[in-house]
Amino acid sequence: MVNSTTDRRTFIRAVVVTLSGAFLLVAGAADKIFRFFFGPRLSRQDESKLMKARLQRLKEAETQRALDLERQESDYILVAALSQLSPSEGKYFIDYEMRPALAFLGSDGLPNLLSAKCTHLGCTVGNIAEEGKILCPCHISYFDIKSGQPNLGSPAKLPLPHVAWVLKNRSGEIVAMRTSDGETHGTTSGAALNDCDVYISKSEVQSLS
Amino acid sequence: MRSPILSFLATRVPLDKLGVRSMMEHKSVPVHSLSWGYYTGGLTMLFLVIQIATGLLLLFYYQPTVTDANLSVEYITNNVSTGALLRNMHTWSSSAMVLFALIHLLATFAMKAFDKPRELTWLSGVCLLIVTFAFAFTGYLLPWNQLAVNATKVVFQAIDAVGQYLPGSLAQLPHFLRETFQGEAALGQSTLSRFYALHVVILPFALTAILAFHLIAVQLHGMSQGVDKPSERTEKFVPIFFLKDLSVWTSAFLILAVVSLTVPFDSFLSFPLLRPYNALQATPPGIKPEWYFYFLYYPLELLPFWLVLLGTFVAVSLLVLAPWIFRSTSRRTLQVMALCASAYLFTITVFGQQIYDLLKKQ
Amino acid sequence: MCHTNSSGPTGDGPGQIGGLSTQDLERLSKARAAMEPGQEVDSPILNEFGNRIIRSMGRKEFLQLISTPERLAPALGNKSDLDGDGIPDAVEYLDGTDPLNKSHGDPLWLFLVNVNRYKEHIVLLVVACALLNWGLSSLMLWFSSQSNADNEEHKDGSLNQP
Repeated sequence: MVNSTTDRRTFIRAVVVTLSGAFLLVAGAADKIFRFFFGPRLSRQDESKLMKARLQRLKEAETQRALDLERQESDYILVAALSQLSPSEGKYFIDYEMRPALAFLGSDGLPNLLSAKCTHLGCTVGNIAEEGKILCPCHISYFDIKSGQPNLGSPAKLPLPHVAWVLKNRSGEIVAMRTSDGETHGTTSGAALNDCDVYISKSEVQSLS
Repeated sequence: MRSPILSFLATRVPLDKLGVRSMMEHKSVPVHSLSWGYYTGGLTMLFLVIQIATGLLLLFYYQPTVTDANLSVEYITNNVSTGALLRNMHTWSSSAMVLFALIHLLATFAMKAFDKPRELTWLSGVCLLIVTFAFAFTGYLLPWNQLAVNATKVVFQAIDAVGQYLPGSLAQLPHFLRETFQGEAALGQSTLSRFYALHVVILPFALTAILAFHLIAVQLHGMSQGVDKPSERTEKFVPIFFLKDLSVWTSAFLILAVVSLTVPFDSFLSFPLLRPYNALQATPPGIKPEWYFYFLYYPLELLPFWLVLLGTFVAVSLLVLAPWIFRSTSRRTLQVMALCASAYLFTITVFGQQIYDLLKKQ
Repeated sequence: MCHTNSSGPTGDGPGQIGGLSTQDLERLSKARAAMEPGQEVDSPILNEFGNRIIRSMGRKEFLQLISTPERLAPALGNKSDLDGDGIPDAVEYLDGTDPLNKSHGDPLWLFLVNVNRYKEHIVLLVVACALLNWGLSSLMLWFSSQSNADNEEHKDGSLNQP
């Protein structure tokens, strides 16, 4: 008789404690769970901040999709005006395979275009050339912008490939060009270069592949 | 006469032992110096349950497109009620799940729990570990920030690099494999969609199926002895061991909840890495995989690629074939091996960067 | 850290000088003229943190201190905390963590701040878990003692039968 009373008491106590623990958990979390499913109602200011951010991301995507389409359709793609190029700060552009590349001004006054996709693991190489070398920040490889070669002992073993270019003047005539094996043709100095723009060309890519 | 395959299966999967009654009444847990190992599997499962719960909730707000993925993660963190906590819990718990899966593997190895008749239990466990790593890898890309996309690129590049060691036309295989997972020529929307599908549908199915087999197998064979001299003391699984398990789970959940509430996982990373991915910008410095891939990452940085590849191949083969290779190895030796493996994993995970700096400076 | 565009102010992307509209350029030149502290600054190439710096110290003092972060940080003072994570902007600037992200900062500092912030939640959670754990354990023990008693009765019964 005594035994079964203590038994019952143990049982009731256990149930009460369990229920109160569960109640505490549920009561603490209920409003948060409800608000989670109900969704946030933002203030006007926060809402417009969010919308701006959304629009911004869409614009970035638009830029990229436009680049995609341009590479699909055009035979030449503008990199920059020759006068905009600098020997120490590269201009990023996107090559025909949608990989990042860099445009520098070479010591000969002609463009020097090379891939910015690190030959080690594919990170994008930085665009500031210190003493003629650009840095891949991922695993610290320095590349010589003239030869594309990585420095000794760097994780990257292969040079950054050079990208072929075409110089066209304002009336659209080809003034000079360099093929991907490094040969330069056409007028490479003088006043003819003054108003030229630097392009990359699709035929050069196709002849390679 | 039964065919050898049938009798093999009958010993490994003795279905007649299945039943609540046998679990309630007969299942017992040996008590010895390695008894803590029996808790590790349960803990891994606790973190899996937390992953499922938090993951399902995150699904309500996450958007798997390249334009909105990162923004939706930001929205979850900044605007959704308890969103920051849920996301942080998902991240912390993923780390905890990988950690305890690894400890569980090492503990079961040291206890020779793969010995006959538990070979299939062990094999399913190895598969579960691989699936867990696949979960971690696919989930890593989903926030679509600089770190996520660039780290995934690095792994893809490493897969590509395997090709040069394969003979003949097989050399192209890793390349095709990479492009298949990538879905297009460069890492983009197709990759994100594929990883999303893998992370939230395909891998969960695979995990559930293998885990069901794993748990049934554990149930059928009971707890393994774990030590060479069978321990005299045992405790009943229900209720004694289960009660202890319950307390361990409660404590683990409490620790996880407090940590997720107070320490954002992201604060261990440098913040330019957390910016939305932009293909047209330079990669920020410091791209590294998550800590549980360090054991593979630092060797890749320091040693020749073929050596790491060979090492990985040997390690995976050892894991898969362990029940047959180590059939007559004593538990003493297995413990020493597990200790060595733990020492390696611990050192490379905690001091990897220092070792890297030390070796690279010379 | 202070610029709208994470690649810095030069370039023609969004938030960079090359991509600004005429109105933006007006805001930019106004911000550039803010040499003394306390002026309203809303530069299109600076983020909230960058604007706050110029507003609080003016461009003149800022340009003097820019090359020495250890002197710039105390000059910013410890009052401003734009992301509300409990770590002042100046400290985040020195630590190299994001002053505009609530989930980014020195982990230990964040831990202490958040433990303090959520102490009631944590205490209640611990109590709830302890109650649940204790309650479920006693329930289970009770059930198993009941079923043991049942079994023993059955055994007794079978023994007593002739």
